[in-house]
Amino acid sequence: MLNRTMTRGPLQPARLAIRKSLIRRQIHAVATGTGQALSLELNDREIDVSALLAREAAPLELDSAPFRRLAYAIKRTGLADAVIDGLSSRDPILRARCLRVAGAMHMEPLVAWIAPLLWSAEPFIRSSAARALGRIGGARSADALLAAIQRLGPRPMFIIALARAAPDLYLETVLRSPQQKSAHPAAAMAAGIRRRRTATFALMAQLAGGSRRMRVVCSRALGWIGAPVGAEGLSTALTDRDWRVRMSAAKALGSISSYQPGALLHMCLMDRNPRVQRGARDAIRRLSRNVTSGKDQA
Amino acid sequence: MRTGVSVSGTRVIGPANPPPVLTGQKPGKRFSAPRQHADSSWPPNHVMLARVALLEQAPAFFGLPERTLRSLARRLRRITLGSGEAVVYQGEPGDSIFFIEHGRCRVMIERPPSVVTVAVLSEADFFGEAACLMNRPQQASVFAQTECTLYALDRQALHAVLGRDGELFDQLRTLAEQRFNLFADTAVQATWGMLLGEATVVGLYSPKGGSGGTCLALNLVGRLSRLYPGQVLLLDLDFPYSHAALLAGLVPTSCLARLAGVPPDSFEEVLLSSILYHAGGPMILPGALRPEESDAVTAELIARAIAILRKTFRYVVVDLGIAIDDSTLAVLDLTQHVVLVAAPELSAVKSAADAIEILQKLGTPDDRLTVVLNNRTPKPAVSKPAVERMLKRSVDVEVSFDGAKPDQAALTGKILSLTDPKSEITRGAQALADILEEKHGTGKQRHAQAEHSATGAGDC
Repeated sequence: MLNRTMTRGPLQPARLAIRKSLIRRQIHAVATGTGQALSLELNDREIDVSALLAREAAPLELDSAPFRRLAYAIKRTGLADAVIDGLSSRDPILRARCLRVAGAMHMEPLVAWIAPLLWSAEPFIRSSAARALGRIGGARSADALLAAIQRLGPRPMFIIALARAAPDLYLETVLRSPQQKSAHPAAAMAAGIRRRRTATFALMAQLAGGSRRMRVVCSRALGWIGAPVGAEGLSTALTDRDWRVRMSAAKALGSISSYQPGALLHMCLMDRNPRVQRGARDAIRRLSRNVTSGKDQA
Repeated sequence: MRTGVSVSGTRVIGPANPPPVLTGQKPGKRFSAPRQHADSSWPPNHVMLARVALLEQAPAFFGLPERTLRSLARRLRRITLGSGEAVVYQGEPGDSIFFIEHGRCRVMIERPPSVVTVAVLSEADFFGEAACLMNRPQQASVFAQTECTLYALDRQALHAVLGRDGELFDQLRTLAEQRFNLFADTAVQATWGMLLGEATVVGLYSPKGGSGGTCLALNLVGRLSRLYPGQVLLLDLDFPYSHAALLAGLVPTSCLARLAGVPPDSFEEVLLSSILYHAGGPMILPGALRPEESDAVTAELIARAIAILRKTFRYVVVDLGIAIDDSTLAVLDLTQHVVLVAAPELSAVKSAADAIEILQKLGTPDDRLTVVLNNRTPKPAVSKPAVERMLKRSVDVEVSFDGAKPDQAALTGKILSLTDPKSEITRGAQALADILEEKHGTGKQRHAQAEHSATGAGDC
């Protein structure tokens, strides 16, 4: 009677919440080592098991004991096989869930299966695949994302995933090597997002000799990184022919706290383009605020 | 759809095992099938061989099976850097281990207001393991000193290939911990300034194998380092198998033999960066990591190394092993004190008597020669008076039988003189350390300083 009432009607959300809680506790028990049973059904239409698993696995370190326990339980119960099968399923929802599990559990051997999904017809599968690769990380994931960027263009989701996935010196190597035209801006953006100081010199080289688009992106990335070494290249970019480069260079200089506003930045206040003027004004205001707060602290 | 992948999910995709065709995806005009797959780029065979050779030279990796090495080699990324370029910055996170294939890298720790070079790494060395495996921020910045070719192995690849092989991870973590301490200590020492005075070089020679020479050398270093933490070094020249680092539970990363080709201008930095640091205070420099490397350790190389080590440490104890060859003679020329270890066995005592004769011919003064009788059995075959009769001199230090303690300590990687003060080995090492302190005067200064400060405190 109670069951029939709970499956339909007003108690339905409560029933779902109870089931979710049970599954979450089951996953938690496996991770903490207090339980071993794990029965997860990726095809469950009511509850997204992958989301629960991802939430539980998110704070765990890759080589921590709870993560290893969870990964082992997933392999033991056949969920890993189900994920591999699900990646080639006709059902896009199941595919997306499998991608989420693969990402959450850092299933690096599945990169080869996930990579083709980056150019899937369904946009949400593409973004799920990118997210999964970003979470898995490593050179193979970054390679797959870079290949997708080269073919489909620098999409924000791909760039964010590339920033997450790229291992040390990966983006720097991409920036230095000859690549297809969309790879360099994507790598520059990713380096900026990751605040990679090691990429500063590669970005400065691109800022000095890259295309207009590349110069704009490199200015922004150098601003995000905020390394004092980048100020020199950005100051030179203030005299660039293109107003977009000048504007992004002015904005970026505002992010370098150790930079002393020089004559070039002040000259941008009288630039013929109002957006450059605004960028320079904001930068100077920001830098002077830094100086004031520094004095206050002293 | 079943894809034929094992439950473990670790089967590698490659030309022989292509990824599955996606049945749920309609082939659209806009998105064609990928032309180049992420896994389709297999390095050529000669590149693979070079990469495997590089991994084999790296400590902790050389013990891995061929198949695992090849899997790791396949996942290495080649990086070329110009002179002066940064590889990693201090304080930043890291997720890759870098192997140096060619060139040299400078490891620097910033301790405001100064920047201290704590090591110069060269071919077959690696770095970045602490950040990669222990999720620590980088302890030091690493810059390419010359044009460098590096291979990077990221954390994901390491976990994917090694899976749950905890042994290598443990070894790498031990190594990371070791290096962390060494670099931190070097940075502190450099900040304080160079130590004053030159070290006393002590040669420890056992004419017969199995007399416990290495064990005694290690414990002597342990005992001395209680007095002078971080200022006592054991140079392990017990060829062809130098095991002192192993007995101390350390994973050697480099050795004296590998410095043979290092140019003179960077020899000192590379030499000091090859030294292993034990948490208890002693430092160890292995002579060779492999038996075939021992040929590279020449008398000239030893002299160069000892000249530098004497300026850096207070005591340099050299474990000379059993052979009397050019390198042994070179060390004996440079030593201020020789310790001869003999076991109470007929052949060992006979060899010790011969060795004493040789040392006397070489001009070693009697007061700079200490004879140690190391009892390795509960009931020695030859009694102490008999040994003294055969050696025609008295035994200075007798080490009583210590049961299974030395073997157990070797298994657990502990130095008895640091962990077990009641051990017979510890007592023997202490007696030996007292003789050295008495004869070479470094302790006198220390006692004098202690007395002076005590008097000063009393005056106050």
